[in-house]
Amino acid sequence: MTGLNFLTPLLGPLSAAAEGVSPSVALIYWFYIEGLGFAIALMYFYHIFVRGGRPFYDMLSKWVDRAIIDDFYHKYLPGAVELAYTKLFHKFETPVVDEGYNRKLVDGVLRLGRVLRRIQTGKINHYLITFTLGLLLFIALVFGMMV
Amino acid sequence: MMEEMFSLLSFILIGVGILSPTLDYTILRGRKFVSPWLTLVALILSIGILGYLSVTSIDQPAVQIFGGMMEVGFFEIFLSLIATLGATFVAVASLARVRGWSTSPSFYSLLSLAVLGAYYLIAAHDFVLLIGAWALVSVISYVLVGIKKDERSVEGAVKYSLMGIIASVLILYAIAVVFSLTGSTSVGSIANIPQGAEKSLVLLASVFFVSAFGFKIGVVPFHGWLPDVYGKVHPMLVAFLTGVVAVAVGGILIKILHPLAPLVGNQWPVLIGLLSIFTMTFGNIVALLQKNLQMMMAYSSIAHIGYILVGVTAMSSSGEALGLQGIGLHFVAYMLAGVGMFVFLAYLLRKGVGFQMEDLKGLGRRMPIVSVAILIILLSLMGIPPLIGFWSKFYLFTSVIAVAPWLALIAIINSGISLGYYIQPIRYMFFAKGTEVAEEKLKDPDAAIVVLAAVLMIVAGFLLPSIAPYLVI
Repeated sequence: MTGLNFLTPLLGPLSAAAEGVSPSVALIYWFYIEGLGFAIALMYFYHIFVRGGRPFYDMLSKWVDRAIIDDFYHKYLPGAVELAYTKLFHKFETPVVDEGYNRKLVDGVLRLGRVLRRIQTGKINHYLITFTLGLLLFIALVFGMMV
Repeated sequence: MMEEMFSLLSFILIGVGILSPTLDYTILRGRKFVSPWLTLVALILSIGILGYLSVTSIDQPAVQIFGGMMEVGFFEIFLSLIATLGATFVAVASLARVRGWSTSPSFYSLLSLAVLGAYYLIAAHDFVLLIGAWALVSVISYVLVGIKKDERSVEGAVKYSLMGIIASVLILYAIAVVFSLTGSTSVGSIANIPQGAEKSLVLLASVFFVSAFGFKIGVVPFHGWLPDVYGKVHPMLVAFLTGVVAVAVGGILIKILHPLAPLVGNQWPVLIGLLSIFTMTFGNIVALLQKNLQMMMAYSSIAHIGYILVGVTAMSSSGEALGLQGIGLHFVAYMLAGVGMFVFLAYLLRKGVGFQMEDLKGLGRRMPIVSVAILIILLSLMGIPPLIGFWSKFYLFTSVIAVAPWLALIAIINSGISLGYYIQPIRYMFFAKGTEVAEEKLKDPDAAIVVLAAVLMIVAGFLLPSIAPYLVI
């Protein structure tokens, strides 16, 4: 085992017995013995808990299926959501989303656009007045902020 | 070396500007053959020189040349390169139509002189040079707007020049105010104004500078001329305004406002932020109502200037570096989109297609490649990744989150509103039935420029964010 000391913690309780045995043989034996232990533990677990608890599981799954999946998830939950949707969105979707957002906001933006477009009269004197008023407003704003 | 290179650029552009119409009008007896090609050669040489300068100056501090009259760093060279590219695209695209105009030698001559004026304006470090460069660029732009000599062009030119006079006067007022505070005509002297100086004068100078330069790029409420010129004049001439004039004036606006922002103090984000909101909201909402593609693009241009002002708002705050990078990138997006869209309109005009949305029906089948290029340009204007329009908006909006989060929110809402009208041409081009006769010829220089602009938008989206950190003043 010289030079293979890193295996010692892996081999665990077999390390003492494995002393003097070639590492490959020791590993193979270790897997066999460990594997056998796990297999026995697994069979015991299955026999006692899984097979023993089958009637209980059957009853539980029936209850979960019927009460939670069928009744709650497929019946009461959609019903509640539908009811809430009808009550809430009847007073929200139509006046707020449809009327407010989809129509009034768009109408407002377009109306504002039409008002702004009226500035563009094509007459140079109007543009000069806008320029001068804008400049005066800008100066007033700047000095207003300073005060 | 920088001084020699700028001397060379001036020599080339002035030489071509003077020589080409002289040759065409006199020696060649109006055959109008030399001007376009000489101008193109001069512009391509300029791109080469500026490309070389941009590589050598990328991580170097700005240097003063011509006895401190100009200050040139990577930021200035970058903007000059954008303006030159814009002018080159216009020169190439105009080979298809403008060559036929009686005034075409003057058009090409003025184009090269305007590019030179743009260099001087962007790099101006002295108010005397700034006034000279401003006059050069302004007068050329008034003349170019009216150069087609039809009723709409002349009307647009008159409106533009009359309002431009007021803007020029405001610049002189602003310079006088700064001179009274510093006793110097150097742009750099703004930074030396003592903190205890009369603040009302600093504010007055800022207001005058913003109004004057804002007039030229279309900041609301100084924008009156813009929809009438951008929306009605021949689109090829508008492409010149978006590709050269807007970039040059935007560049000097940033350079002047940069030292003024810390002097104004806490009021800065509110003042510029309000202008930004008015500008982008006005542009977007009125564009939403347009049924004419050229008018829609006119108002869209105003909205994009509002986005650039978002980056200006971030000056003297923690987001300043990001704001400057966003402004640099947005000028690229603005130039490519402006030139691409207006050249596309000129192409439609040449092909006999109208500018109403209804006229675009089935264009996706008639001109598939150009239509896809327009789709890419519109997606970039919307701010869809990975196109350059996305990165520029991302940088601009992020830059103000610390100093004015309300502005970032309003800018994002505005960007959302803009989808409403950018989607219209796409819907008509690709999802409405029209005639299906193929009309596209990619050999047409204007069609090729539209495609090139779209390709560059994709390429810039991948490349430019990596060089954006070098865009510092």
